[in-house]
Amino acid sequence: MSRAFELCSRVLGLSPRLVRLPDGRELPCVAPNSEGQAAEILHLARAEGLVVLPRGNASRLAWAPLPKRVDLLLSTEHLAGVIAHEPGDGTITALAGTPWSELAVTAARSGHALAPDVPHPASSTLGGVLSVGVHGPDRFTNGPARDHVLGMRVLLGDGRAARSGGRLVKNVTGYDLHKLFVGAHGTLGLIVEATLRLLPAPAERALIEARFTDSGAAFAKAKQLRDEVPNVRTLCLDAVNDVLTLTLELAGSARSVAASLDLAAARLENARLLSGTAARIEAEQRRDRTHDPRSTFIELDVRPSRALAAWRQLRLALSRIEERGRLHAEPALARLTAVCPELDGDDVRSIHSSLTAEGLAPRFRDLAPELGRALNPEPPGAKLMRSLERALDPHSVFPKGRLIADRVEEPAR
Amino acid sequence: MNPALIRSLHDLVGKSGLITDGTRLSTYEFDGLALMGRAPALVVLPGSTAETAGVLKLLSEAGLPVVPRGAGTGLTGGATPVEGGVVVSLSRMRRILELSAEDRLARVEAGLVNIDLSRAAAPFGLFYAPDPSSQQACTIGGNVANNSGGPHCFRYGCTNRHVRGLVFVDPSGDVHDLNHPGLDPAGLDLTGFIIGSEGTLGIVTEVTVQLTPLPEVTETLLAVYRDLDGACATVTEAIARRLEPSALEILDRLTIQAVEASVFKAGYPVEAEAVLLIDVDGTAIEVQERTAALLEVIDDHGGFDVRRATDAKQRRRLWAGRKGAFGAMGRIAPDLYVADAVVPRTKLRELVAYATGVCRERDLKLANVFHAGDGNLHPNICYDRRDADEVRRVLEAGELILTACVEAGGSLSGEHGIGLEKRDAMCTAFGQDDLDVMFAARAAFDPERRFNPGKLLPVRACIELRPQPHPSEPHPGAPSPRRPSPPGPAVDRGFSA
Repeated sequence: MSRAFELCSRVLGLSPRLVRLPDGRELPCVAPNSEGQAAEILHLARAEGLVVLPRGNASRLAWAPLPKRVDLLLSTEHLAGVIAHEPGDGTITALAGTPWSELAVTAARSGHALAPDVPHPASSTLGGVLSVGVHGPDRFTNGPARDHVLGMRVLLGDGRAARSGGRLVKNVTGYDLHKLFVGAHGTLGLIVEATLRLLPAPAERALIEARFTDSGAAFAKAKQLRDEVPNVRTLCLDAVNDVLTLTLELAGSARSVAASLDLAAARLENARLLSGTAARIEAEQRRDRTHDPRSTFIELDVRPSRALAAWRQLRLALSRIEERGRLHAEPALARLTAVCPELDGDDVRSIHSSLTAEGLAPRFRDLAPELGRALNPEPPGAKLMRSLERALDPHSVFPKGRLIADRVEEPAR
Repeated sequence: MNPALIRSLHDLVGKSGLITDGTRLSTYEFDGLALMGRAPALVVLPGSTAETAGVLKLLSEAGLPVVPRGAGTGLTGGATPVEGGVVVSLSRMRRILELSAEDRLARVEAGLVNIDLSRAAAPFGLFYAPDPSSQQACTIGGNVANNSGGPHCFRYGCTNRHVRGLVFVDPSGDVHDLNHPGLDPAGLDLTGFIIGSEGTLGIVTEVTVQLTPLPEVTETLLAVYRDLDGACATVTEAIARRLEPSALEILDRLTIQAVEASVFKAGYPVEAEAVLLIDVDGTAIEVQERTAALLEVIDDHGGFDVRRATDAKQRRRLWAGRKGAFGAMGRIAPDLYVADAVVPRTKLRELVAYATGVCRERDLKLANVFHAGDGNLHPNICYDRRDADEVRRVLEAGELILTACVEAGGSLSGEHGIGLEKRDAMCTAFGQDDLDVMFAARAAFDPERRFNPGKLLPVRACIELRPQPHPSEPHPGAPSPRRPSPPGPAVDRGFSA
């Protein structure tokens, strides 16, 4: 029995269960029933020199390389529930373990929507979404998760709670510490509560799609649609073999969506149209396909003006391996994604070297930890990030080496 | 000031980049907060990122405190010099380094004036969305320091929604190019954290921003009210009905009268108790639909005599009074205390009424002009700084209003920042544990606490400033008896401001 297991049972009276990490390691996982209990666990972990990895629903746990050392998983599954839904103020506050779908349903009751439109919302938690910095197909219109976080409450490595921001749509009081925790992959602390800004839910959604065989024509059309058609919620290209499907999702009032649909249809030949419930269901299925949790995927962000060239490079790189994967592009944002179910280390290295040789900077998700660490480059500002890690978690209770290389192999005690 | 240091700085930035004589130094005594000020020992105006890095290295070796400065339009003393300190002004760095219409982004030097970016982007059908009232003078770097907003951030968001990357020089003079090809930061979101840090972490020299397409149609509405409460109620209901205009601004009677007596005269009815100024933008259909719904809400809450304009010239005329409101208040009294607080948008009416009462009781002239859509109040108190008793009453009223806003679930600042003015009030908004973590994060960038010392965070522990414990502390979950020392010292032992 591990030390972590024993301590949780003996000192805290909690019964950890064994959980397998995506890389095969089996670890004790403890699920505190209150923030106070979570604080006790962290306090104990610090005293005993344990490394604690926060866990939501674990669906994106390996999006950043898994740490070399973890002693205990701290699950937020019982720290769940909506604390405040303020329709008149357009905000929602909830505990970290709350499923994203529950937040979305609550928001919908007041005619609001959440951003981002997270793929697989029922298996995603608020804390997990923020910790990973997930984005959805609505990013072109609504931006990333970090734009919608108004405030946060976190537990630090010694069990102390700290708060930043608030429950207000506009606020510049103090440092925005919550910005650091969005996308930090649990390396700085445990997110226990967050407040999000709500958006008005669109009254109408519609989908229009057309097929292309020439990528140049498809990207040119995407740019034209971005510039000329209002109410665009999602603009994406999906490649299956040599056929590209361009999909445009529109959202807004019924009349404005109808007008935009007419504009788009006039610019697309042989387009297929969907509206109402059918459009929503189709959009949700497409959204979920962009983030298949069982696959490695490659993200390539470039400027929109370079999207076509990068797309061609990505196809070329993937053509060198047997499993080509599924290519997805959001040309208006210039994010290209390849979802590849069965990539081995050699495939990944080959794709990486052919893209970096062209000056591109791919990022890989869901790789084996060592490979992930080797291939995802040191980010700009790494020196400042290390300083912040030391400042906010001086005893390395939370795992390091997920975003930037470890400063030391073993946590300093 | 050490002559050898002056020579080294002179070699680096040239004669035009250095101010040493007393008369010119005195123009840097304060920013928009005239209540507090002192001349800096020296002003340096670097012309590039490399020069800024060189300057900061020299100042680091000399161990001197540094106060970064944009245009000095800030209203909370964020750019107020500190004793024996050096002001580093970015006002010579105002080039647009790149503007890509296809990519909808621009890379600019931090000293670029806000409005100049939107002017440069306009021929491409784009604009830079954050539009502080001072946008004719304030700089993009200053906007980054304060996470600035403006009337239209109601729809488009404040500065942090529009910044994609920064070039940042840390207090030791090391340059960090935080631009990256990714949509999301690789690693921690340093850019997001630096935005709004009020010059306490280092100096931003270049900013990469997103540009926004100009809306197809914009309609401006001006509704007149017989009481301020009706205007506030209109805003609260418009938010509850999710009507999403792009700006919702309220001006009260005193402001209207000041505007109409000034060169900013906009034709607002001087007998009105309040006017509500609304911009609705989007496609023609969206504007038509939202305007129709807003007109209903206005009517329900006693708004009348609605003026409407879609033509750019007429719209400018309706907005002229709002844009010139702060300037016009000079007609009421020689000095203006511009308060800035945020309240939940469901509580606009009660807090505006409270502020009015507080000022009335103290025989102070209150002029309200505020971003009602965001719940961002600006109760402006007109006073004469030569009248010591009036200054005392102004400060007392300001504190009471701020405390009431925080107690109602609001916050200390919506867009002006904390600066020097509100640093001690941070203890009313946060507990000591929260502030300790902020101190620790600050120390990660500036361990010697030389950058804008005495700003943003209180210089004394909250227990000294506020004998009553903050409601949020001690946290029920915190194992306080075994609590270790905070990661950073709780008390800023930096330079006094």
